[in-house]
Amino acid sequence: MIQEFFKPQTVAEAVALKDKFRDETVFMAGGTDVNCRDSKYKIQKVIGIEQLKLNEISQTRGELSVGAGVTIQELLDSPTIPDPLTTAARHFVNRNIRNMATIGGNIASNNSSSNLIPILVALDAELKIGGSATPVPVYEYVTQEMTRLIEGIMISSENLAKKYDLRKFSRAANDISIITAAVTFNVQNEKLFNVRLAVGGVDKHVVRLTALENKLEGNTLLAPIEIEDTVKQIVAPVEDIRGGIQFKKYMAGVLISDCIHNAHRRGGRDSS
Amino acid sequence: MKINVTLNGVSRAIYTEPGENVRRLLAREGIISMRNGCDAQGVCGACAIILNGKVVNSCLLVAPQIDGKEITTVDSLATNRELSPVQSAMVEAGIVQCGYCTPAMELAITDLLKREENPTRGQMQDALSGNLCRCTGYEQIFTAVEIAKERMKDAGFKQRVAPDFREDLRIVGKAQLKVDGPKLARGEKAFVEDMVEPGSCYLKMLRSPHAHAYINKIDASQAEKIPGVVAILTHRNCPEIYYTQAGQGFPEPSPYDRKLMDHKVLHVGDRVAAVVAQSPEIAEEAVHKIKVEYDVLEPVLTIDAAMAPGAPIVRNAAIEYVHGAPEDLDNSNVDPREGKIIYRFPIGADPRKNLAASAQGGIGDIHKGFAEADVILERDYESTQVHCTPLEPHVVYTRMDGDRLIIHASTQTPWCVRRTVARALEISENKIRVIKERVGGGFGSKQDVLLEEVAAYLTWTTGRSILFRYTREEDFIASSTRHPMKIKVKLGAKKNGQLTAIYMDVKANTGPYGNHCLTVPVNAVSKSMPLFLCDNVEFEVKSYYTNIPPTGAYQGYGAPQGSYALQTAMAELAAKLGIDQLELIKKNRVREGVMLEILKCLGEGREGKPERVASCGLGPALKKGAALMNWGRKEESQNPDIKIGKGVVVVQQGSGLPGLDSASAVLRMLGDGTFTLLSGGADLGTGLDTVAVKVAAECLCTDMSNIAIISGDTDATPFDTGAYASSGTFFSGNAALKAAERMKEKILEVAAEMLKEDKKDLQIVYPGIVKGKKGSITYQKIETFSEKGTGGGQLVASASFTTEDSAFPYGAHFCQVAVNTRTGEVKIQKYYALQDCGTPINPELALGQIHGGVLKAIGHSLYEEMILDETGRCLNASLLDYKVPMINDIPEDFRAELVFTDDPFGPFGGKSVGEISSNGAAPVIAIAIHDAIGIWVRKWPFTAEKILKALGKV
Repeated sequence: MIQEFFKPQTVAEAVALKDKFRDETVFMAGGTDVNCRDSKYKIQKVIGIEQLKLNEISQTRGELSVGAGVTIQELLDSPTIPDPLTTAARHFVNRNIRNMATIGGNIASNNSSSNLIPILVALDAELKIGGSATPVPVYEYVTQEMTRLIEGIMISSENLAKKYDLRKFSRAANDISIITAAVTFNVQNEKLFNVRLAVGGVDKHVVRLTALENKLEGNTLLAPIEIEDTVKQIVAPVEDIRGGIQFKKYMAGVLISDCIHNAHRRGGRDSS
Repeated sequence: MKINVTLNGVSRAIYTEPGENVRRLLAREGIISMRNGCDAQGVCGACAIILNGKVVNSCLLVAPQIDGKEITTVDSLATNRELSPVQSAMVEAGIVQCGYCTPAMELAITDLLKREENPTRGQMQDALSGNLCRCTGYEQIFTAVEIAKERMKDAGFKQRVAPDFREDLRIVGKAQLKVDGPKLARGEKAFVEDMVEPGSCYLKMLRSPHAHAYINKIDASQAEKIPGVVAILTHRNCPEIYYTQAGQGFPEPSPYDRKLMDHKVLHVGDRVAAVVAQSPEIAEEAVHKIKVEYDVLEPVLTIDAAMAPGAPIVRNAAIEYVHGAPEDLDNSNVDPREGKIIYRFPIGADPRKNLAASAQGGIGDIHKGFAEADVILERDYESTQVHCTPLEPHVVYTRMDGDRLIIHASTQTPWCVRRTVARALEISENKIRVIKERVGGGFGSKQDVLLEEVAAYLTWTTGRSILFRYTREEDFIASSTRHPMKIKVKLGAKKNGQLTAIYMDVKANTGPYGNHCLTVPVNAVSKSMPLFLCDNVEFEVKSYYTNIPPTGAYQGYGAPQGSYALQTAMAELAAKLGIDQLELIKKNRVREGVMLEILKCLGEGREGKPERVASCGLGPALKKGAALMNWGRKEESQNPDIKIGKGVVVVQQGSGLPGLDSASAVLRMLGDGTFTLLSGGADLGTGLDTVAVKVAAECLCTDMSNIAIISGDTDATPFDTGAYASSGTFFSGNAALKAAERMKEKILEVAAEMLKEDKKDLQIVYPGIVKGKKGSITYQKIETFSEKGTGGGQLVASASFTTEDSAFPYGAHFCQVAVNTRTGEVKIQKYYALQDCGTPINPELALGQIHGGVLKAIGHSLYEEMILDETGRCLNASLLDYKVPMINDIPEDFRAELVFTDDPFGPFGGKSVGEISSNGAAPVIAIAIHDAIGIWVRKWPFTAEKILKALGKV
């Protein structure tokens, strides 16, 4: 049970507390993960960050900036947030949870089933880290399982202009995603460039399918079956109560293939 | 620490701890309306509050997060006692059933209507996306929102919520306010957990980690030393009394095969030690300090494993019979650690072969029937273990009042609880009072005595009041689930589709205890076979002991499994014959007036008898459903990966158990001419109290508000076998009606004396006046006259209802699915359930029952399955991992229709509606899937993975 709940008034204070208590403490925004009965965080000290008001959303010519404390519902309600992120936000079916969970918290929880991390990875999103001037790519944050304070998320306008699509598969509407997929790329002279493919649900965190990215980079679109077969070869999901290994491989292949083809066809409107 | 919150408009300073859960904090502050259904997983939404204008789950918040903020709960919605537009709309629309999720839903709708003046259906679904409701099927919420929206502009706005039936009646057959609706809408004290007094103790159970083991050693000495521990019960210090947990009429057709604490544990989660302590934290700490050594045995988890030669014996107990012991009964090699099994009478059991019960029977000549057939079809179907998931987990509160034990129970069977507790404690029944509080979802899971007796024993022995509330995980692994079954169906038919033979072989997995081990599997046959007329019918039923989590009664009671098998087999037969599936049903279906001869083999633990079908609405149901569904038209999707298919099934149930069930009621007239109605019936939120009040009010020509009902209290109300087998309307309703009829006679007698007229010239008219040829007189005057010293005493009329007559409800379910052949997803585009419940006494509540039953069945057809590992441990014992359909899972076009028939036996012709609705979804979806993609799915649930495997893609 939580014994101490800190409410630092500045980012510097929050970072200092984390530096002091390290693994004894976690940052809490909405609390949907930390306070959940099944939380992986069994800690007694919490650094609440709601009062830091990391909830600004801004779009400049070069970049979209979203504060880490922006809730999933606020992503949906904001006219500034572009379609890739609102689509991912809609994948959180439970409105009560959307009112509480934050974009920063969802990244920090680093669940393979995250509805947001795949599209952020595919968009090469970067994180403003508390106490640091150096942005950290979302993918680096999740693969290195960082626990540093996320102040905000930045996505370049150039990346937001790419073709994109994202999908998820779950058993029931209000369920943890079994597989999530997100893709972005540019097309020039029928060839794909800057390909990013991200999948959740096939490893302990969201992964990029770099082997398939390399296969697609600079080439024309592959047929769905070729994409699906390649995905099946490169992902290594585990069996659990939500599905067997072959099923997950198949679904990952289908979702990635459908994402790529749909993005290519329509410029990125999600039809999941 | 101290926090400051504004709670329902009032500033409060609250002393708390940094880690205190907000739901618990608010409960401590007297806000009881936020309920706990998922143990802080954030899934069920029953704990929702509005925090700074946003609907959030209070279970996922800790105290510091609400400091300085505004909180709104349901307590602020009503003005004094007047319901808000949202609350009144919800009651009127029929969406308040058990009421456990109601406050949270009201907050979600209130918030929605603040944000959106004219919400779309999609916006309504989104607003309620975080609310789990197991009772209602959600569809009527849209009506509630429409009414609320209009009523916020016009306080007098009214909208028809259900069709009216029976023009000849004043209130029966018309939507009226559910009698407990306003109380539940206001979030008032109603449930067991609301009755707990300060200073009460808490019971926590140490449960077995093994599916099959002897307890070799148990050492509770360290636990006993913890300050605040009051008592610890293990097999070493509990009475040697065996009983059945089954909530059934006495003598029960279920074996007496459990005692409070057994020496052998029979499933993961079985009881090992019960700890009573002054706080839940102390009890939990003590549980962890109890040391146990087990002698682990090989678990038996499946029917095949139980049947296998040389299989481990799950219940190698000493066997006793009260009546009918076989001559070769031999207990010489029984290990005393195995305990006992006592049978009231033979049920075809042979526990030494893991056979818990068996039955067989038939009519005609099955071999001749198959010999005459042009086509024979034989198929096997399988159902898996599913859980009732009532939103309120199992809970009981026990206390002493003098030398009497008071049990506040969330139960369907108060008198079974009393009888079982009396037996287990070896005390007389008059020492026990059982009060059925409001039940937050039953569905059969609260039919049995699953925790009441152990809490009762510990209260009886310690004198302490005890709350025993299951966690959600305990509810999964230690309550009541649907029996997994393997069913073989063999059908013979002529080329023209006329059935010549029906054979069903049912094998059920009854788990470790024998509650309902005979009657559920027999019901799989008795509620499916009589749907088709055939001279040659035979069945065999066997039920096996295993070490899976316990099974029991669940809405439908075997009929969903039997229906799945037989209805799907009929569709397969139609395909083999090249006949339209609907035509095959029409050719062979049951009709009004026929005698169901097969029922003579299908009594519930006793000899049955043939029954005549007094009313049957299948004809009009099939006709209307076919028209609604555009039956015969093949639908196509623009997406080449999507295939669309349709299906139809017919379903039936019973209305209680004629010859076995019994219900009673007492009506008393009060000094002002109003009444109290004491009904033994147990309203689970289904509206039984409303049925009883309504039929009495109809008979007595008075308003429902003039009849106050007290129900389900073994001290205050007369006997009733319980709310199961769809008996409520037929038995408890008829008892109330009979009491009202007797009251009517008494009223007329007194009125005749007072008016000095012939009784036969008098009639009762609305609003509660007796009119004669010469004069008229009110009920008040009649009662005043009766109560005087010169009168005959207070007017009291009592009645019991028993019968040998049956009132079978029927239904036709139609379904259209879209199967995505690329992902395996099955989406239900249309689901139409057309149900004949005779006269729908409460039509709006009947519609809710239908939607709710159908959605539960959609759950087990598409999503729900308890998954066990090889040791028998349930891997998805939580609402996060066991997926119950919510509002975004309902069919896109989801309709319930009430088909009227004139039944002679139900109260004003009412038949049951609750269980039957669970029987159609599995087969009709399976049939529609085949129509879409040509694949028969013969094992539920029909997951995407299974569909893809069947298509050869995985």
